[in-house]
Amino acid sequence: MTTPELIASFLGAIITLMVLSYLFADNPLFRLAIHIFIGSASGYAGAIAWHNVLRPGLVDPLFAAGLRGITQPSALVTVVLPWILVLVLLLKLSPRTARYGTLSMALLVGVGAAVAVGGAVSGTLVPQTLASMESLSPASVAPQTGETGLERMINVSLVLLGTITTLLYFRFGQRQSLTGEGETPLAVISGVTIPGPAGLIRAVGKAFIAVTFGVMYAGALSAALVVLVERLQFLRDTLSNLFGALG
Amino acid sequence: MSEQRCPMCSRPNPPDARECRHCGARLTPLDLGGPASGSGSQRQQTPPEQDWLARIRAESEAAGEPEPESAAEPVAGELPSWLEEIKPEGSPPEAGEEAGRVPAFKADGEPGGTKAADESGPPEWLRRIRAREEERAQDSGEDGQDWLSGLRGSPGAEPELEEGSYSPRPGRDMAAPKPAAPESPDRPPERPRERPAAVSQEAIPSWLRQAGGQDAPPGPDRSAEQLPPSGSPPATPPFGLPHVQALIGEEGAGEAPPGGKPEGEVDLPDWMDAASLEGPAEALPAAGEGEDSRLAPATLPSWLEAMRPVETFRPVVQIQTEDDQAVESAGPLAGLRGVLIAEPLVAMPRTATVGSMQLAVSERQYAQAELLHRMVEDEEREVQASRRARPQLNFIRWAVAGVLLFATALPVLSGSPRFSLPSLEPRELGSLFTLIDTLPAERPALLVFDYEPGYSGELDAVGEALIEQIMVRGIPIATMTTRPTGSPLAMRVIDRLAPLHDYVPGEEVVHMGYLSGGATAVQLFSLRPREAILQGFDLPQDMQEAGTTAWDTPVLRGVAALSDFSLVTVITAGTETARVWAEQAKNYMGQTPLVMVLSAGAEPMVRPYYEAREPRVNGILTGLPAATAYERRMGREGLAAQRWNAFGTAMLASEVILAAGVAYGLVQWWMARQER
Repeated sequence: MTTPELIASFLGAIITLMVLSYLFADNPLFRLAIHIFIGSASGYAGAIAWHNVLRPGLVDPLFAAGLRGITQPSALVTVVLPWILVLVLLLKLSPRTARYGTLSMALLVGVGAAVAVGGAVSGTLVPQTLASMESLSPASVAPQTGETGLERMINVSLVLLGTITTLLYFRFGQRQSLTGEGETPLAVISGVTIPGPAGLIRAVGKAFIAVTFGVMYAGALSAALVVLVERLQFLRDTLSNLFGALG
Repeated sequence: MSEQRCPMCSRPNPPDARECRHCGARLTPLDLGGPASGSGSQRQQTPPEQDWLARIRAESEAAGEPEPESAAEPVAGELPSWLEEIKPEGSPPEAGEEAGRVPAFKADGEPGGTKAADESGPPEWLRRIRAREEERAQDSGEDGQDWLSGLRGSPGAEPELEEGSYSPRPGRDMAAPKPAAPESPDRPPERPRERPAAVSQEAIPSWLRQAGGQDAPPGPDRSAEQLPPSGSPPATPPFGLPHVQALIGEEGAGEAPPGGKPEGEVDLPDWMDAASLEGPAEALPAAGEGEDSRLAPATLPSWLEAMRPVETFRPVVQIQTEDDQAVESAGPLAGLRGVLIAEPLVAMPRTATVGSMQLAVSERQYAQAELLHRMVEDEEREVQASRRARPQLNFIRWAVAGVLLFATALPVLSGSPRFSLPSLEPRELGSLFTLIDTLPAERPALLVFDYEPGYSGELDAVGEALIEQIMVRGIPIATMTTRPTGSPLAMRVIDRLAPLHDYVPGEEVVHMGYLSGGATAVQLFSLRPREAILQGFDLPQDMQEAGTTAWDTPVLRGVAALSDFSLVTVITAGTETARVWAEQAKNYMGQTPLVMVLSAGAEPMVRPYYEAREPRVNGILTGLPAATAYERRMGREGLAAQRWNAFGTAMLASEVILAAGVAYGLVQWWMARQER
């Protein structure tokens, strides 16, 4: 390991320990590490934006076209119009001239919304709706996993049940009684209330949602533990390299 | 009187004090010896300026002017009854008093009292006014219209209007005829006064004659005509005053009083009754009892009754007797009694009417008012800067952290305990491995590093297994990102794996860099990649010097659309990023598969795109267990396998902590249930 790499690893280890000091409480070391991270990330993002976006997309074409080139009809769209839109967008910085940047902002928001909505309908809404209408035939085969038979039937049934009950759980149209309860319970057995049909359906939907959130929480916990392991290994390697370099 | 209050500072003072002991203000008038409630000798000491009206009268008498007949002699009982009632009870009747003279009770009943007041004459300002009026009267020559001169008693005025000009309104303030009062012993007997009928016509101003002459015949006849007949209530009172039916009981409205007043007697309002004027406040209810039957009971709304001020409102104005009334000491009304004193009303602080209202407040309103009051007080209260308390070490927090750190660090530092690699692998892992294994090697694979540096510990390990398989196949690799911090992450992963598989930067692997613009940019990149990314990132030095871009490298030379890639792999920790690529890019990829390398937390939201009938995602690699299984299928040990033992112990510790927490919650719930 070279010396710059060793120094960089050492600084990384120090900052890692500063972040882990949050175990004690919110302290200046933790805040210093956060500030360093935010500052370096912002500066790096600015540099990336200049080198990867602004300079090749805005400045270089202008210099490449020159004064004579920007008067060409093709340059009006590729060079002049982007410059105009960028400049009027900069007018948003001042409250007095902010209204002149509305055109650029409207273009950004409108195009972004159109793209997002179109992609959501064609990429999520329709495919997911179709995914809940799978056949219950034991002969059907899942296209990706290859499951079939009883397993396929159970899986499709669970998807159907989960979809229906979850949608019914988010049904807010039921009229509540004066006591605040949605409906009359079916029975009360030794203090345990058995809900009615609608309440039962909502309870099943609630259970599906709870299982989904539980799985997501388990995944997040798993990811955090892997990151913790990686940091501890990094500290171990850094100390090992440091001691190796020193001695 | 126990004490007297200062009109200036409102503080109490002894009753005999002449000056306020607090502010030094004078408590009694300067010119008089206090209220004229003493004997006649005390009144005789009153300076002549006190009663300027009497002096005016005496002056006119000294001039020898003949008095008109109409004002010759006041007839006893001709005064309005309210004026009769105001007179002090002890004052002698002034039946023989001359019209224009100051009444006996005003002249303190002393013989020659008016004459005694002639010593200094009228005030200078009054003399000037009178002289001006005389000149004006002589110039005009209209005696009948100069009724004001009659009031002044000037020689030019024919009638003395002191009483003759007074035209009592029939039915309202005309006094009932009374027997002649005995003459005053110190005055010569005078002719009994006649009814000032003709004189009144002359003395009444022209504007008043015009106003009342049409419908009101002059003299006592008019009063007799206007009186309503007994037993029938008047539809319209004299002088056109409306009869308020709603306030007076209709049954006895027109009936004669029980006492049987003679016709023409004054029908005074109740508030001007003698009992109201002279009697004490305690006598009012008794006097009004007889009238209550005639009055419709007043009904106030409850809210108005609640708002009615009960402490500051005085229902009865107590009119003091003449002797008790103070004499004005300053200003143009100096010397007059019964003048409304402005100073106490203006200078004396009074209790605020609003503040003293007794409102009907409910308990809830009171509680809300208390709450509001407390909030206002809390706003004004300064928060004491408390010393920052030392951080308290939370036992549970430290216990959880200690257990996790120990369980994670133990395998990292000591290499034990060791967990066997997972023998079971996810079902989708086989299809993904097959997919990568069958990719065409001549087309490049696109790797999208769309995760933050914080997730590099997990996603580097998961992604490296798949990237290494691609490198084993010899497929050229191009990287890009939609996050500004993604390019260094991609460069770090590739730089670690490229030497292992002899990948040369710029020849087999190239970084395209950052794609800005979110979902719109992803769609644009899917359609025209060369227009979306213009340059490259961390290109070799010779390429930078030559001015070439990433698209000029052998990796991307044949790529014009997204479908030209052999594989698109998105490595991400967020479901939103995965959804954007599945929604925006898949439609333009053709037969090119889309693979997601996901963090474990994002898998539940992305898996539906994979298991759909028309899948938007063709492969999923999620979490460290799947990556370990992938490495094992490849027959090599990578980052996932290196972290497997520590990950296993950490997961075991986490499961123990979760189980302990669930057990603690169940015990608490059971104990609470037992207590209930």
